[in-house]
Amino acid sequence: MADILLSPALQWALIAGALLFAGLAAFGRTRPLHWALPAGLCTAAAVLDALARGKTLEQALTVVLAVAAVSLIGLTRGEGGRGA
Amino acid sequence: MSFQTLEFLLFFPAVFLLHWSLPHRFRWPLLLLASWLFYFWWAPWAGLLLVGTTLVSWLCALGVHGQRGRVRRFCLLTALAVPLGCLALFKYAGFFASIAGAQLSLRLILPVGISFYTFQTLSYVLDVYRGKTEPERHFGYYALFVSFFPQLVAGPIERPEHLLPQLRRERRFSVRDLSSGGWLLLTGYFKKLVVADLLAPLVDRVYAGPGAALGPQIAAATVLFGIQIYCDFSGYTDIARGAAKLLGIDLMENFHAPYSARTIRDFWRRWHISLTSWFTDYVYIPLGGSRRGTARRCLNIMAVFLLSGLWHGADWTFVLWGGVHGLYQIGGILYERCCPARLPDGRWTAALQRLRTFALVTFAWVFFRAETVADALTLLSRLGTGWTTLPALLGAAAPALLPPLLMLVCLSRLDRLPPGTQGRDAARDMTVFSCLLAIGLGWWISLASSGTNAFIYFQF
Repeated sequence: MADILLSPALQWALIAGALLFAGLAAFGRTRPLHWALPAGLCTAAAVLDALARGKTLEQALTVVLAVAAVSLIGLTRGEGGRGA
Repeated sequence: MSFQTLEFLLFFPAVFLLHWSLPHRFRWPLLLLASWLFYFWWAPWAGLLLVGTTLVSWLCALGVHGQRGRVRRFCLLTALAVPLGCLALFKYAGFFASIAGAQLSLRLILPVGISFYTFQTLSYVLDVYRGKTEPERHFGYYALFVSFFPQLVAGPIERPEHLLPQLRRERRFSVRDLSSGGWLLLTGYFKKLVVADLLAPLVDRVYAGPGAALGPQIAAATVLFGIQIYCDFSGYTDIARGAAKLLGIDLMENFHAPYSARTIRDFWRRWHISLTSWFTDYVYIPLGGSRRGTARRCLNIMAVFLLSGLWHGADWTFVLWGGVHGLYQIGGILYERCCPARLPDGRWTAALQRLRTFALVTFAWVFFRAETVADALTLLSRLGTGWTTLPALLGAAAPALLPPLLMLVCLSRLDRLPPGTQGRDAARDMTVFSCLLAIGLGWWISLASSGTNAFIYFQF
């Protein structure tokens, strides 16, 4: 059990899950927000997993950034820029 | 008090709640007291300077409006000389003394935001002198116009005809203001605390030792500095505009996607808009603008950019930065005259023009960021070195570069999200809001041990 919990496969699975669910939530034509829940859970789990492996909070938050980037790209498809 | 401190996190909600619970007639005293507290918190003596400058410019503007002849001229000169004299004394005395070959034994501390509120008082007095605006007879409203805390220390540099009527008008609480103000606040904190503060050490490492840096490192650090300063300053502006919006007041837009500009002239219409328009209205146009021929126009442009550089800091690096931008503008004008034929307008042309403008602006940042002119020249002379080590450098830097690159993607998309208040938009905003809040708070907690960086534009 400990082997599974500490295996790099779990880490990558959580990251992939977070990105996949975020993509489903943001890129869907009707923007189905119910995918946001598993995306949030996978992201939180990936952050906790990274922290448990001794990574710094900045390193762990890279996962959140990647999820945020995917979500924002999906949410702003076809939107005109309103300027920075 | 700065926006990224715990004091502000306690101060602002208290001001917000009091502001909306008090009747209109008590709001200006509350905001004025809050603004002075915000400024006095930093240094009480600097607060006295702010109050003194405000009083002098208010009295002199009344004199400029009500008097004729010599008295009017005297009032105008006093209203210009006092703030500019304070600015010259605190900001430029050492610089001009060093040019003259003298060494000042007294080092004065620069009052935070002096360049910003000085320009704001000058625009008020000059507008009254030109008859463009009526003088404000109520000292409280005028003092609030100069000291309004969201924009006091780093702008936007507001104009009297835009801000004064808003301060006088009875404001009503609206959910729309709450939503868009909250959105701006959060965007600003995200840009500052997450992006700018993360990039700062990467840039500092290269610029602290210019003699040891290799070409790819210099190029990467300068590009990252361009992103850092944009996020730092536009982040501040967003927080300022968001805080003002939550109090029912609209501050002017200071940035409009500057890095998507296709020409340098376009860049300056989008970057620090309040300062650019100030220099246009009060320096460039009075000098003759573009009405007196090409040579005079080029001279006026160079004068404005050198002054703009000097406004940013009392150092040759800033003057050179301004000069480089002046040369860009003049080059653009001469090129348009020599080669009026235009390229076909299309997606690829636009992309190339944006890339060219970004490269030119980034090149000029070297002078802005370097500690000395010698450092800037060292960095530029080493720009061609070490490119064979690029793959190894990229491999080593990837873990550090991935977060900023992801943030860049987030940032470029964040600006496309219009704040919604109803239905699906509200749900969407709440999702993104929560996501950003989590990142921001996480970063803040992790940075709390090492402390965050002050806003870059506070030094100006």
